[in-house]
Amino acid sequence: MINLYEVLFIVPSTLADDSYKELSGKIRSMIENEHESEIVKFEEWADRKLAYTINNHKNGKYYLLETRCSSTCIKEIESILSFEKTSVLRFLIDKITEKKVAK
Amino acid sequence: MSGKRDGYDRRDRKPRKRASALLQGDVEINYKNVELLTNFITERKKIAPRRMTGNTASQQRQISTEIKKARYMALLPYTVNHK
Repeated sequence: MINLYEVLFIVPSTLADDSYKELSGKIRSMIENEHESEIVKFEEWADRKLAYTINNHKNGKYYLLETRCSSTCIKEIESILSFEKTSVLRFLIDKITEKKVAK
Repeated sequence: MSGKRDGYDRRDRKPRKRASALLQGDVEINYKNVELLTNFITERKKIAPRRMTGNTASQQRQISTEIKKARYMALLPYTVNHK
């Protein structure tokens, strides 16, 4: 069953570019190569001040990922994100409807 | 029931708004739309009651879940006293 998912995650602003690239590459290859699913959108928000400090981080970079994939695939994304405790401060996975993407 | 009693009248404190003008038309209540959601939290960062905002019950349910998501993602604060 293919669903449309939206994943928002926060990476500390202080994180080195390399480790972010590694993380995003891991997610990308997982979706596109292992599950042959589609990444609809992968965008970066501007550096944002967090509403409260998380693990002593005051600023964070938000990344929004939209993907059309299966539930097993999204579970693997979830496990990747939850395993990266130092580079991912928070993440939220949401199932969205097609209508919301069109906007 | 409209007379003021002892100079105090609930309506003196806060004018009553009937329908929320913010949600007219094609507005999507979403946790990422922080600017919209900030209209529905109080000074103390609590979720504003319907009597203040004039939301319908279903709007209020949506708003409260979306505010909670936004709080989790540190887009909105839980309280004014965050360390």
